[in-house]
Amino acid sequence: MSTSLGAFQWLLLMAVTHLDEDAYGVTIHRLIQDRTGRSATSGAIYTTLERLERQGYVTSRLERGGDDRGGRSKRYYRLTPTGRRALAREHASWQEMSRGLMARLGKS
Amino acid sequence: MSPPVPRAAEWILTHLVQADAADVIAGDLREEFQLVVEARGRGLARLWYWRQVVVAVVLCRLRLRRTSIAGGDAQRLARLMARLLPDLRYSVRTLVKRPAFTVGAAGALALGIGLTTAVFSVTDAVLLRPLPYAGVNRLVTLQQTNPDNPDDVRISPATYLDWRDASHAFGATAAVRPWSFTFAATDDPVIWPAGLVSEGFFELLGVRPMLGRTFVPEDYRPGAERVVVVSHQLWRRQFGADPSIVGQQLRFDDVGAMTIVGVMGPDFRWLDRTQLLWGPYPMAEPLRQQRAATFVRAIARVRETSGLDTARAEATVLRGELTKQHPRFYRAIDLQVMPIAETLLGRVRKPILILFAAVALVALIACANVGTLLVARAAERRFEFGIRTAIGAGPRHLASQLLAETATLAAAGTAAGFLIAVGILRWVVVATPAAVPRLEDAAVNWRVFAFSAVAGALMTALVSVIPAVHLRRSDTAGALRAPGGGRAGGSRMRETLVAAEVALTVLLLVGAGLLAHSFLRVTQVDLGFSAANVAVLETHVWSAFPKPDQQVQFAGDALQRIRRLPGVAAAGVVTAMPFLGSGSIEMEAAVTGSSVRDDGGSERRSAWLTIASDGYFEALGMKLREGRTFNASDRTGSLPVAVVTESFARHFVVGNAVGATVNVANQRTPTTLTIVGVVNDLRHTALENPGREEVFVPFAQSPFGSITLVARTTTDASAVLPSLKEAVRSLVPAQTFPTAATLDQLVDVTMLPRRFYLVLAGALASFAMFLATLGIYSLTAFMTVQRTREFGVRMALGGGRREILWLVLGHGMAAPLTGIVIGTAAALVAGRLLESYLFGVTATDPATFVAVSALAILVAFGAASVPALRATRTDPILALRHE
Repeated sequence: MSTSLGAFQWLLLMAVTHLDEDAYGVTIHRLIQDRTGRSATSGAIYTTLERLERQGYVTSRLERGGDDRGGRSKRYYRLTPTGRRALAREHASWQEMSRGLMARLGKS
Repeated sequence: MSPPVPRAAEWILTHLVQADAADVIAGDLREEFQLVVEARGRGLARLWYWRQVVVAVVLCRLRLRRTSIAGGDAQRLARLMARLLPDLRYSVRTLVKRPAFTVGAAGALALGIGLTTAVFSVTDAVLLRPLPYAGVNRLVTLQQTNPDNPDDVRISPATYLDWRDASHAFGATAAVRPWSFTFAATDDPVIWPAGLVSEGFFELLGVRPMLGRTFVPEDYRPGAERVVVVSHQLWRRQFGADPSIVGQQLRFDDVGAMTIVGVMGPDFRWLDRTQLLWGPYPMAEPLRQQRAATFVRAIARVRETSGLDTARAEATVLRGELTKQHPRFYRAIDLQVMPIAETLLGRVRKPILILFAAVALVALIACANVGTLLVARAAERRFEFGIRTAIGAGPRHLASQLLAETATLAAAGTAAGFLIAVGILRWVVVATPAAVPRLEDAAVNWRVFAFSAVAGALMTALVSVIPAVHLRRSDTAGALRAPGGGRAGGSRMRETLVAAEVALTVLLLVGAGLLAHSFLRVTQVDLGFSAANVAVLETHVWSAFPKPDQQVQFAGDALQRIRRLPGVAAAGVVTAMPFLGSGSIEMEAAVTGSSVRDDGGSERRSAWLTIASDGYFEALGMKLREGRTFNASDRTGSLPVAVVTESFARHFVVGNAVGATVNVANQRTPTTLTIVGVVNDLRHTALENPGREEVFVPFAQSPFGSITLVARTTTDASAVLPSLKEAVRSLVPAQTFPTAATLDQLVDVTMLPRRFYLVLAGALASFAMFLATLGIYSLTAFMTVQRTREFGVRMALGGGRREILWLVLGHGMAAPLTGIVIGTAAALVAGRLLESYLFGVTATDPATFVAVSALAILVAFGAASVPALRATRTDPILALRHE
């Protein structure tokens, strides 16, 4: 099941894990941009996380937003145990596959 | 203050994306926008915001499977636009060269599209969208007919309980009692319409709360904690969509504290759409005694194993049995089982469909018109096309160029039409009488957007077919040989189009004319009182003054203060205030006595019973026919008296009314009353409903806690309202007023539906007439231009100007006259559709038909005579120079 996820989904799961209690649209976007230099749109982040939630990788809760959001609600995300297991497994396989990769990439 | 996000973009986001997603995304974007402004400046940040919105709308609407990080789709779109741009630019340039033509054609299309889109939005919201209940096909309302008010189908609690117990066809039933809570958290207390619901109400409808729970059996036990479920609307409006609202307490002025146990979802609405919150209604046995007062709305779910017919048969049997046991209550009424969709939408389906048909007609007229304009223009450009063909352009080339221009026109028309639809919709939602259910849901959403796009495309197709067909038929090469010469093809087609336009216009004009005539008749109705300069203030003092003598004291004190106010000429209190709607307390009483006319039956006769103080009749400006009205001597302990209406005196009393005694049975009144005066009849609910048999008793002899203060003023009544409120609040601080209005306003409200239909029909008919005028004008003008040479010859041969004038007029009027005849014939048939909306006129009202035909002939004549007069000024030398 975990193999059906694409690169962007993994990025989001990683960001949600890193951010722990503070994972919502803006912080997730900032983290991805700061660490990878890639820019995602809010719409993409929202719809993808919504799908990840349907698939059981994350859960979310709705909170009331402050004045900086014009009082609009804020959706916080958390990894579910399923999401945690899937990410750990994926991370391990990436680590396995990337061992010694830099040396070869550097060679060419 | 941080810079604001682009408002239009946020509007698009929140209207095109599903509400919960839009809220979160818009919040994220607002927060991030500030960061982007700091990093890149305001201009770039706004661009960034728009891009975010476009991507969000596309992703959320289409739910794309693939998630792309960059806006690859936007780039592809930009490349496509770049390829099309030169073609578009050429079309725009050609169109700009003829501003009158362009504005006329695009404007006609825009109005056509705008109207149809707005009406579609209404149809969609009101009729097409499914009702938000589970298994809606098996849901029915249990109701009774009400001879006095066809709109009120509520039943009494006793009827409900008997029905529930007797029926086998229903799997479940529930009852709702309309209620209201006074919320006093702020300085100005507000009254929230509410519903008290019996056990299983939410389960029966198959709706679940969005937060918390609905009611459980424990909530219905005596002494249980008092709980409410609030609507999504109230939750957002009053509690700022606070997700932790469940468990909080609400303090009400009238009923004390209640705990919120749940919040319903945004889609849930009960039949009574104004209700904002719901409380439990234990249908306890004592309610079996409540048989006369009909105040509950009942619903039921028909079992899978039985059908609507079974349920209806059961209702007939039940009605028969109830009539045997309680003939007084059930003799004149019928018990009905109605599918819930029919209950809610049955009355509005026809007007909306008629409206949709009318609007579709107007859109067709617009198409026909733009088509005629394009044909005329294509014919004008025969020379240009001839040259282009001669230098190698194929017919496909020319047709595609025409199509490109039409498409540009249509695109402009569709865009403008969409904006017009937004405007119309805003007006309609505000202006429509509240009687149209679900109208508040009519909004510009993606379905409406899609509809306007499809309507635009269809109209473009229709409109472009006309000149394209014409172009195929006409001889482009021949045009080169004789510029401006010969009769161009397509003139038969143009005439047919104009005749059709005129016919459709006459149809709409007759409809509008019939409604206008009815409106006039209604406004001439004698109300029985004078509505100008009367201030009306509804109030309930049961909690402040529970005892009858306190109520008498309160009314006396309040009236004394009010009568002393500057600008008040007379004042009184009443229970059943005309045109007050639900605030009017309607009571009924049985009338007997030796001087009461025998109607031949054994049943006791009943009349309306109204409690009124001295000064009430004077405040309303009613006419005293005989005897006297109430005065200060009519108090507790003095002779019980009554004032009756003329209808009452005529139908109930044998001999002279004044001085006669009648027995009026109702818990609140002394039984034997001596009639001291007769006043004129007055209309209570609508101008269309006649006056009624009514008995007035003095307030001091049968006080009441729900009253309406009425004051006749010497100046503008609305200016006196604040001091009326002050006068009452000086006796009862923080008192609430469910209604505070002028009597004019109250009467106007009942006219709203009529006025609304009239304005709509008038606007549509005027627009249609404008288009038809344009059509007749362009037809005649074009024909004149084509026959310039002929006119030249005629004049050279000695033909007079008058001869030419009649020639052109005769030709120009042929098509409109045909249209008028066909339209009138069609209106004679279609007018029947409007029959139930007419008052005092028939659907074949001769005055309306004559007026409309005369108007149509006059307008057609005017439109045709402008080019005809121009033709008479033809200079024969100039016209023949080319020969």
